[in-house]
Amino acid sequence: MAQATPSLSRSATAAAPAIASQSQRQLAWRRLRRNRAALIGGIVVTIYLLTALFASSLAPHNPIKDYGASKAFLPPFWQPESPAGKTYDPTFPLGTDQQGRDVLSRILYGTRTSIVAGVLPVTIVVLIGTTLGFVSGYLGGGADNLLMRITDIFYAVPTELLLILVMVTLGDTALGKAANGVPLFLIALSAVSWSGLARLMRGSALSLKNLAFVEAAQSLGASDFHIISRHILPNSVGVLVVWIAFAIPRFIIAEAILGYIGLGLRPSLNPNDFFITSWGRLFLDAYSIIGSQPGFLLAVTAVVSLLVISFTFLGDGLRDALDPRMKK
Amino acid sequence: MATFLARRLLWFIPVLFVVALITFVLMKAAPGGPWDRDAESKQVDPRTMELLARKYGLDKPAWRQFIGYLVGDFDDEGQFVCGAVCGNLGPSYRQRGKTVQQILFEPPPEKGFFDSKFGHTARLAVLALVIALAVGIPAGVFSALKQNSWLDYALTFITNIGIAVPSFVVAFFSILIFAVGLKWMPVVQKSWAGLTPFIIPAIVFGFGTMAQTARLMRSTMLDVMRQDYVRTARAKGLGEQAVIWKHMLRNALIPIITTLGPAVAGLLTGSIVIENIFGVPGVGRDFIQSIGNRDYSMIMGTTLFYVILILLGNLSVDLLYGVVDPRIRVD
Repeated sequence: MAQATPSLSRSATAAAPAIASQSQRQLAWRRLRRNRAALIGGIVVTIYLLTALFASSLAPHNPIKDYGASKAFLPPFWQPESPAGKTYDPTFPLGTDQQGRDVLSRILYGTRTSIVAGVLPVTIVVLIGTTLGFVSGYLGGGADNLLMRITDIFYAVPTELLLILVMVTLGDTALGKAANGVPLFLIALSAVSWSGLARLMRGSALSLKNLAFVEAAQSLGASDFHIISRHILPNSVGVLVVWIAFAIPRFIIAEAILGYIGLGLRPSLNPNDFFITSWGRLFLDAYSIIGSQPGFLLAVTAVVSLLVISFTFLGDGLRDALDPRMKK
Repeated sequence: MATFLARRLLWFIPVLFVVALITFVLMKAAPGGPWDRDAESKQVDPRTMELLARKYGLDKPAWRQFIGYLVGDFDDEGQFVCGAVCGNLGPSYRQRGKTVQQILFEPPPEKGFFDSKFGHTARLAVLALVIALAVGIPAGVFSALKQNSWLDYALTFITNIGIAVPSFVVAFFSILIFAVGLKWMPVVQKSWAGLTPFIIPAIVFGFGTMAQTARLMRSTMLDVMRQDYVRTARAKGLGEQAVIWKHMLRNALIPIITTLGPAVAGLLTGSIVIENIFGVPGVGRDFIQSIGNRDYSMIMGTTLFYVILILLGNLSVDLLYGVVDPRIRVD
């Protein structure tokens, strides 16, 4: 018997390469790579991330320097002459705004701010939402009841409306004025968005906690923390990743809407600040000069749409890849 | 049914209470009052401020102001004035002599209800919903019936774009195309009489709902087409038109109704931004203006109004669902 075992295992290893086992992650990655739309979406998102990171090196001009009235309202490259009668200047590829600021540089810097405005709150919401969702779903009881009632209330109140309310009432406080309003924006967006994810993660924990492997862990004496972090969390990652892919563009648009209304991040006049302008601010500025410089609004709208579409294609692809049962 | 309705209506009370409380606390936390936006730059002299504060009851303790706003309070002459529970949303701080409900619902002199602020919002939202369903449902059905044809691919592509790009961004595209490029409409409309000026804003506004309806319609139609009862209908010799209209479509429409609740809610609150972009003189544009003016009673009243609309929208869809699909019982 003792001699039979090694020979058995040897024959098993010999047969293994023919089957070529694949982990769940490898399978998901293969499914994602085969999805062309998702792949292109992923590449575009990566380009935007790199642009955000290197905005200061890529921008041809200082985004807040105005080149004066003679350089104001220059048309973008696809328009030889602007409605204001100015001709195209190749040093300003996307033209200039009413103060003679370079549109391309402003968009590049805005990309940086808006990407941060999408990614940072997602991080906070994921931390709060998964913790509360797992704890209430796995432990149940009074805390679970309370969470469900809170999410019920949030379900009836549109997040956009709440977000506007928080930004308008707290915008002039010390908190709202600190660091171009970024901290307030993060807090407000996280406060109104956590409940949806908490509900989602609660559902995931609820469906997982009755499965055999969780029961096995419980009977071996594993702590609640161990079960949540080692069993519930890894098995919910798929749902979480898809949620993130759809949440980031939603948050970027939330910033753009707030900025357009005039409640978003405060534009900075200091060139050394990290947040100089954002897409929301650019929408507001571009729309106000649509008559004399429509190319500005077109450029901003196109840049924002491309990123949002790419995120959606990537999110759809991730959903199909991570959960093949969900495939449409 | 009656208990279901009663329970759902009772649930409105805590939701509205919490929303009112959050709004109230936020407004109290804001620096400056309705008469001076900045605490530093006082625009009204202290004596007038005191009188104004007394007139609007702002000299009372905060809890009493809150209860007074919701339930009602006694005025200077000892007369009881009913609050939000009676539909009285209080006086506007900025537009003197007018209550919030008058601003929202009262049409200009010699005009009908549909020319009030809410009338404009309702026109926009209803038109958007009608266009979204009238285009989205047939698009989904054609996609499914001609699955994998070029028509299906084209419609699916447009649908994907419509779902991905929010109406906020579509609105700017449409202004660039229809106002700046084609010059079919001015950038800022001057007259909002009738329905014609609402058409382009409504298409933009309903675009997302349209795309979602089309996608859902396509997938449920594909599902329904493979059901046994459809095969039975064909087997008994029923004409193709009758199979599509009577057997497939009726069953495929049921899931669409569940999406109507969130869609209506989205249309109502989404109008805040859309009205602002197109300059529609509705509740949403007024809301943004009252934010700029720090007209707190207006902000609070409009918020409560929006939440009531959404609660009623969700409730009516739940009831409708039970009516359309007898397999689902609400009790």
